[in-house]
Parts: sequence; C-alpha cells; structure tokens
Amino acid sequence: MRKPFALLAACLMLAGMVAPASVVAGEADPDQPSSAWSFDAPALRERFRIAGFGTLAATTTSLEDADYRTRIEQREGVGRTESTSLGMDSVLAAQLDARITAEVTATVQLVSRRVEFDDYSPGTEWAYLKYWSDENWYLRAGRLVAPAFYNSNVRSIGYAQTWLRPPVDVYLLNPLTWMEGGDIGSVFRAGDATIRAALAYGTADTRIYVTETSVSELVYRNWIAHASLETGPHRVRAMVWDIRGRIGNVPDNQILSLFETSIDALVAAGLPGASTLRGEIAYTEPIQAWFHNVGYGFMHPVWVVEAELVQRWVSGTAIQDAIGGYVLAGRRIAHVTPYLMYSEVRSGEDKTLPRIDASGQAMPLPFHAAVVNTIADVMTTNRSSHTIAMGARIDPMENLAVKAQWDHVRKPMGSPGDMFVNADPVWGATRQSVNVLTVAVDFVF
Amino acid sequence: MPASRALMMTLPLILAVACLLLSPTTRAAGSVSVGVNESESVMELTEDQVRDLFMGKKIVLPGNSQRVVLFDCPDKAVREAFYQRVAKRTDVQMRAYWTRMQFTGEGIPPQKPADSNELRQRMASTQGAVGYCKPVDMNVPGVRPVWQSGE
Repeated sequence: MRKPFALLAACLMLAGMVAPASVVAGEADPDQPSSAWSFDAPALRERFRIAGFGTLAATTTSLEDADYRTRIEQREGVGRTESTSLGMDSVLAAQLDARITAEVTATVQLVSRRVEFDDYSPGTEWAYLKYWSDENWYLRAGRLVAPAFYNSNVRSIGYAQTWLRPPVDVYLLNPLTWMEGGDIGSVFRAGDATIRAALAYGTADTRIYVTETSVSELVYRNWIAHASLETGPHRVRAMVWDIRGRIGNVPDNQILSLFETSIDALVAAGLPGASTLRGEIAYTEPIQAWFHNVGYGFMHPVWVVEAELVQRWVSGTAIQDAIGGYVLAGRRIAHVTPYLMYSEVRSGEDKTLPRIDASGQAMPLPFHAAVVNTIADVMTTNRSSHTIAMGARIDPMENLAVKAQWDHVRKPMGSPGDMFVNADPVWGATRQSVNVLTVAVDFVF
Repeated sequence: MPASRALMMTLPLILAVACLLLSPTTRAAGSVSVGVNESESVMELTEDQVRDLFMGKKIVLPGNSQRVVLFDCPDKAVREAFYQRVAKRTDVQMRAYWTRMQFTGEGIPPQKPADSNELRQRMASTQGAVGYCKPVDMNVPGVRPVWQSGE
C-alpha cells in the first residue's frame, strides 16, 4: 500500500511544480517558517515549504520473558529480544507543503520508523490535496491522518507533546495512523471559541502481529465524524468512527485458517454448539465495529492536563470490545515539565462461548474441537492492563526537547497484554509488573 | 544489571539536574508593541485580534482578504512576555503549539528574524506583515504600531 502513495506523493509535488507561476506569484504567503528551510529561488520558495521532525530514543526494561512493544505491528520489542532498543521509539520525518493555486495545497509527509520489522525504510504517512472553498470550509483527498485519538494528527511528533510517547495501552486499541479517502471540514469562531468539525471516509489496512504463524491483515472501510472546541486553555474533542472491516489474509494465517477448517468440520458433523460458535467467530465474515472517544486538554503556562476516554465495540468475537483511557498532569518549572500519567484498558463484558465436546467422536473431530476451544479461550481472554508513567520534558534550547519517562506496566493474571509479544507461556498467563525506561530527544527542523 | 541498563537508569536524573542548573532566568521584558506593514489599512487591533492572529485562528487582518505574514520578536524575553500576555502560554508551549499547527496543515508559524534590524527591515518590506517586539522596533518607517501592552 505504500508504494502507490510514494508515486502519488511525487505526482502531487510535480503538480506544484507545473502550476502556473502567475497563480502563486500573487500570493502573499509567508517566505518560510522559522524552523524550515526553503529553496533560494523566490518562486519556488513561495510555493514549497519543507520541514521535518524526529525523535531519537533509547528504551530499556526490566522485562526478560517477553518483549514490550509500542505498535501492534511490531514483531519485536525491548526485553526478551534486546535489553536496550534504540529503534522502538525513534522516528524521523519530513513534510513537504506545496501551494498549487491560491485555494489548493498539497502535503506529503514521509516517515521513517520501525513498524513490523527492524526496517526503517521511509513510508508515505500522508499525501493529500486540500482545497479551501473559503476561510471556513475545506475538502481533502488522498492519504490522510486517521483521526482516532485526541492527539492522532501529531502522535508521531514528540516535540508537540508533553509525554515521551502516547499511552500504549490506549493507543493500541486503534492502530491506524492513516487512511485513503477524503474529508470535508470546517473551522468556525463562536465568540472566544474555535470550533472545528469534519466528516471523513476512507479505507485502510494494518497488520497485527501475534505470532510468526499468525499475522492478521485487517482491511477497513471507515466513516468518521469528529469535532473539537477550543477556548482559552481548554480544548475538548469528540469522535465517532464506524468501521466495516475484514481479515484479508485468513488463508495465509496458519492459526486462523486452521480454525476455519476445524469449525467447518465440527459444524458439518453437527456437534452441539458448533453452529453458535461459527456465528460468533467467523474470520472470513465482515466485522463491524464502533470506535468513539472524548478527550480534553488544558494548556496553561504552568499546568498541563490531558485526559481521554476511548471505547471500542466489535460485533462477534473476532476482536474484543474494550474501554480505555488516560489522564496526564504536568507542571512546568522553568525549562522542565515533570508529569505523571495513568492509563488503563479493560476488556469489555465477558463473552461466553460454547465449548465443543467431541469426546467419543472419531478422529479428527476431537482434534478440531481442541483447536476451536483453544482459540475460543484466547478470544475471550481478558486483555486488561494499566500503566503508571512518570517523566519529564526538558526544553534546553529552541526546537529541541529532551525527555525521560519511566513506565510501570501491570497486567492481571490471564491477560496477555497487547503491548507484549514473544512472551514465555507461563509469563504470559500470570500476573506481571514491568518497568520500562526511555530517554529521548525530540526535534523539529 | 547490564552496564547499558545502569546507564539508562541514571541518565534521566543527570539530565534533569543539568537542565535545572542551566535554566536561565527570564529578565523583565517591559512593554510589547504589535505593528503591521504600513500598506495595511488597519489602524488598531484589540488584544483578542492579536491573540487570534498569533495563534493562527485568523489568517487575515480585519477588512482585508490577504493572508498575514507573522513575525516573532528575536528577543526571547519579549517573546515570553508577549505570549504570556496574549495567549496565556509560554514561549515553549507556543513553539509546540505551532509545531502541531504546521505539521497538520492548519497554520504557518511566525518567522523569526535573527535580530531586531532584520525584523524592522522585513516588516517594512513584506506586504501583510504583522509582528511584535519592543515599541522602539515598531516605531520605524514602513511599520505602523497597532497595539501595545502595558509595562
């Protein structure tokens, strides 16, 4: 999915280059932002703006029986695989904005970070055209941010945030960072308040790594409505997201394809409960989900507060319902902003699934029953976790922030915790506490 | 405990202490003045209008349709005082705020001239320019003061 958008990114930039010079020459657009560099030729400088951001981070943990990861696609993290990781939280990005006409702009953001493998090849995070019909209304089309959370549009920009990384428990509930489609949005003033609202539609895909034999490719179609109100130091945002998705690689996913074979055999044999289970866990059928949240931020010269509540509801049992949230509070003292954050995710109401009893049946039905019962147990497993994080943001110079954050992650007995992979089976099944320490330098240029 | 982990455990403390020790104190900035390029028709701005412009919530001057070009004062103490007054935020918070605005395509951050001479020069030569600094920097040929804070 990334290569076509690299091509689109190039096309958007080309469109900016071939647009009539007279169209942009009359624009009184600023020369360039202070943190950006631009081409020397005045015509190009008016039309193009390049800026970038990045994070260099080192992460270590007390964990030795599993890996701690920060993205659902990551096959490895810090802990069992390596004691200290320089790549898990590091990111480097460049953004090119081009003014094509007075009303149309193009934006391309390339991001290099570790996603699934230990591979930092840059990918196209955003590539879209934006059309302003007037000062209040706009349309965008292309690859856009997937506005899942209060901080989705800047989740990779460490410099724009107080914390070192978004709360992993909560942000793993929706791993999408971009989608391909469009949105219509508006920005209005009402007294002292600024109101932003948008309606978006788009498609996206993502890979969820569980084990080497189970990497699920989820394909989504999304309708999203979100709105925010900002007045003084306060900002409130709410979002509703309707997701229609499916797992696109069931035949290639050894665990899921084994489940499909087994449940079909049990249904064909007419074993009690098999049909009910088939209806609840159908990996080849579309999945409908709702994801909604409400967030609040308070940005005061001394105090910083941020909180968000997120709920995920999924039809069937292929993906669990969940509710999560976090609260962050910080206080600025000179150039240092120490902060404390608590985040938690809880599985939704327990879904009870029938167990298939194949005792007395001829092989391979007992084998199929064992497979199905095991997967049904996994699907109804509690996936709760919570994290207490303490950290500090230090601003020693312009456009650069140094951060340190300590995370104390706890998972109850039986919960694998979505932030852990490659876990020892005993470790994964028992109650655990994990400490993670990260030091990072965030910068913009 | 491996050496790398021991280093990681002590590094945050070292960094925090170093930054606290190195933190400069902010000196008093005095009064702050906002000016516009003299070709603009606006004669006066309210504090709310100044705030809206420097937070990217308005991109044109009253009675005008042309986008403004924002300029920050090169003096850090003046910047700190200005943003504390009009935006109720620190200079660092404003840089984080503008980083968010810039990378989400919602706004273009103020430009920061190297010194007050460059500020005066660029304010006077840039159509749509809106900047702030000490009153003496806004009372120059080509620039019209439109708002001033108290001491």
